[in-house]
Amino acid sequence: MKLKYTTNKYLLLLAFSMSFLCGHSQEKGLTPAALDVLKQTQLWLTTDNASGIAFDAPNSYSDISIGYSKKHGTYHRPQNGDDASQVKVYTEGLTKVGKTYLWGDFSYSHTNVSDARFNASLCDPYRGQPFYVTDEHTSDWLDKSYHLAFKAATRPLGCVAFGLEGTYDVTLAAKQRDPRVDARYLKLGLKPAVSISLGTNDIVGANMEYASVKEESSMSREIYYVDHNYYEMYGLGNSVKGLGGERSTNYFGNVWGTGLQYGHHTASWNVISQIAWNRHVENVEIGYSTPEKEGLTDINTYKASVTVQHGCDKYLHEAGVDLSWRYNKVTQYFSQRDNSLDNAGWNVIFKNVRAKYRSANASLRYSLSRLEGDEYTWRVDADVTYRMTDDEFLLPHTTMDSENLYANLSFKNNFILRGSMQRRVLASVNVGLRQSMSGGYSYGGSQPDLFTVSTVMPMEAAFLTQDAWKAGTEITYSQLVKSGSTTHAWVKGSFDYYHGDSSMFNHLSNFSLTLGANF
Amino acid sequence: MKTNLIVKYALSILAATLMTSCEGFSDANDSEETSPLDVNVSLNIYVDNLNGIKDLKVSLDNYSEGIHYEKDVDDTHVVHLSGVVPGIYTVSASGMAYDVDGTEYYVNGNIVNKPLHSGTGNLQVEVQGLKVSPLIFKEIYFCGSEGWYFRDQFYEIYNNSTETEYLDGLYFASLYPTNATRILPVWHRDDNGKYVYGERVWKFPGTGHDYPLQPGESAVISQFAANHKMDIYNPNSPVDCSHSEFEFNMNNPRFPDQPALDMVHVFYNGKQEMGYMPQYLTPVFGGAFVIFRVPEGETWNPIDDMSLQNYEEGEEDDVKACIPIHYVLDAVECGDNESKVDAKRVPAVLDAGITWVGATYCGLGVSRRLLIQNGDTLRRDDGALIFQDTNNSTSDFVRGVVPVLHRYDTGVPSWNVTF
Repeated sequence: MKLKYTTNKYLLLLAFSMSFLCGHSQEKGLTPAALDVLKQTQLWLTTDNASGIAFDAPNSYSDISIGYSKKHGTYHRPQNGDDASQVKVYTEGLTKVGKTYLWGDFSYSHTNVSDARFNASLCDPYRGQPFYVTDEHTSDWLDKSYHLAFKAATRPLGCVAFGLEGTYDVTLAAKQRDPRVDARYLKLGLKPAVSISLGTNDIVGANMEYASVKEESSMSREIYYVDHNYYEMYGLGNSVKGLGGERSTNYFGNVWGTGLQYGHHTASWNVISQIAWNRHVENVEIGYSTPEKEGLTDINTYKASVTVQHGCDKYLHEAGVDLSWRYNKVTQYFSQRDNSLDNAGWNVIFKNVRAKYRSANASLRYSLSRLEGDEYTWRVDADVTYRMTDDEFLLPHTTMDSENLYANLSFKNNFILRGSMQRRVLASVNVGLRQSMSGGYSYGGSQPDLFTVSTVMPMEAAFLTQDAWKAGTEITYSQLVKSGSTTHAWVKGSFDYYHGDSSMFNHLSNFSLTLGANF
Repeated sequence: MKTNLIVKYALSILAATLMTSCEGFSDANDSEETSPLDVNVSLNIYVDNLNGIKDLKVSLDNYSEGIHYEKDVDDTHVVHLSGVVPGIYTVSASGMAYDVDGTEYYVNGNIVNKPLHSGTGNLQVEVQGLKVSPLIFKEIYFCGSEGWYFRDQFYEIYNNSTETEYLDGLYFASLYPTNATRILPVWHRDDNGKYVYGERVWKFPGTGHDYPLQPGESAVISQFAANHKMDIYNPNSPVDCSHSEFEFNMNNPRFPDQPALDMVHVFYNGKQEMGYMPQYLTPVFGGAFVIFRVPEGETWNPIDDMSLQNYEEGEEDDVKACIPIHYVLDAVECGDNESKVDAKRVPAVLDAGITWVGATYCGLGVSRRLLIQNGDTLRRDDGALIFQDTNNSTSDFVRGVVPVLHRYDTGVPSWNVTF
């Protein structure tokens, strides 16, 4: 069953229109720094609870941008490419229509990736799906991604508000070298929510989550007389070697989850906290007409976060803690073919949980903004993040783990230029450090020379266990498009440089240029 | 009324969504963690007046995952293996047994594609004295060479016995399905496993005693019996087949008849005619091959005898020849690589394993192992080499070797017309 892309195109068109038209102008317009402050203070917008937007009583805004970026270098996870150039269109808006608050965003990106390795099936090999196909050659990929999200909230009906969030993500990815891959990913999500005001300062909320996830991957050959080795991965380098280049893989699953929120706000304090859980179960089958069950992933994700803001005349402080824990229990099926005419197909003989993947993130963040009117004149951001992965393949016993500490510091200065037209130069510098604390890959099976064991996983482990630093800068020039207008046009250039401590993953430079407008 | 309909519609959609999503969730809920297995393998050894066993081993092979276990069998004929990773295995027993008179028998038995998981810990393997074929495949080169050149395929037949064997009237067939596949044909007529199915069948020429093969001699059949290393063919080819004993001549003017003797075409798609294929190309991934002889007093005519024809259900225009299993002297099943061991199309009684090269157009082949005991290569009294023949091509063949005609200097028949 192929995805219905014609329908999808119309949905995307609708989404684009909605996000573009949804905001309307501020009286004085929004500089880029003012838009930063506006988004930063709408805390319910950062949660999974759309209904809470009603209690933020947000101001309307819209922005639209188109950008080009180019990456080059070796500091990246092995399955990403050494070069990538991307064109991206993005638009976001928030407004109030009648009694309903509406927020939406839409993005489209087209990415040309060069020299990506070890992936011959998935749009995103790092999305947590251990059943995929890899091959031995580097290849270019062409990726197209569409993203749409909307949030709608009723105005408070007494002390209660209702809301709904919808997301729609599509990625089409095509590998450009045999064995070629046509991969199509689709995620459609809904989060109905409710929030209740407990007096004037406190709000509690709850939401449900449902998403349908599907990815279809077809591997084929353009040059039919050349047969390639490929590897059907089922976890931490354990794989079955194939020869040829034809395979169709069908991934389909569902996500169910829930979340609870609590918000507290006074004239100077604003607090939002959230705990959330979801369970994502995804089936993997080979072929369509008589599918063979290959595996099943069962991912439980737990998240908790608290953000506290304190504002006074001149300064806005924000501190936050984000925690997440993810546990992926992977089942593998063992099937045999029934070749009889009446029951032709694959019979599952048995299944086992064969691997467990755990990861955790914990981060602390702080920002301080010096306010001037509705924007800031300078802003400092700092964060520290701890990331851990602990992956285990049960039999033959194989492990891969890592612990990393990340620290980032950035400073932004908003230069207010003389004259009319609200001209601004927003300049920032940022530095970051990554410290590997521990980690490694240990294979306990009987095929240490297998390509996926000897090459793919050691490279992945090498990246996860190295130190690195980064430095970057970003400059945005903005002004009103004409006198009396409330639309700010802007142009932004940025450059980031990453340096890894190993020769294999040594450096990466990332340049981008973006044109946009805020309404 | 309208509201009720909307509610019903919404509930139906919700129910359908829940039902479709619950399948995966319930599967996830009742999955149990894999754990090592204890496996007991009991051998039923069918040797008259059995007195003992010698060097008898049981092995468990999960080829696709590269897992191998092996253990010696003691006088209880029961082997206990612990710590076995659940999976789909080939269980084999092979070694020697001797009777009360001290006569030794080479015995083996196997179970292929046996799922081993919780609750399947006790296995029984029937072990029998091995039927030893006098004529065996000694070397097969099927994958072609660099430059997508496939005309240099060849097959070498060896006399592994102590007697003179005559090739006259011996049949050679490539089997169907052409490539190793887990999706086996559903035959129009169920033959209850009596046959293997020949896609194309050839016969050695001769009237009975024209082409003797002495013990230790071998004969090569080439797809095209030329020196493939020549510039006009493919300098990347590893073989010169110009001194092959036989060739599969398909009367292609671009690749004309060579001095080697022509094999006699017997069967293709229900007819004796060769059809329109310009060459006899077998899969470069690895086909399945048999040599067989019709027992004296029996006739085998798949052209005229419809009971010796069969076809896949719905494919009546693609007829295969039924080859009785008891006619087969030797069978070798080749496939893409180790992952295709569970995709066998040859019954385990003929070949319990498969052999492979692991790539196409790489100029490599498979070669049968010499029988070695205590580090010494075994030879017959007349000096003829003895090759290993346990009816398991996974263990009987060395994989990925540069092909050589008459490897180990096995004898060239005196009647070879190319010298």
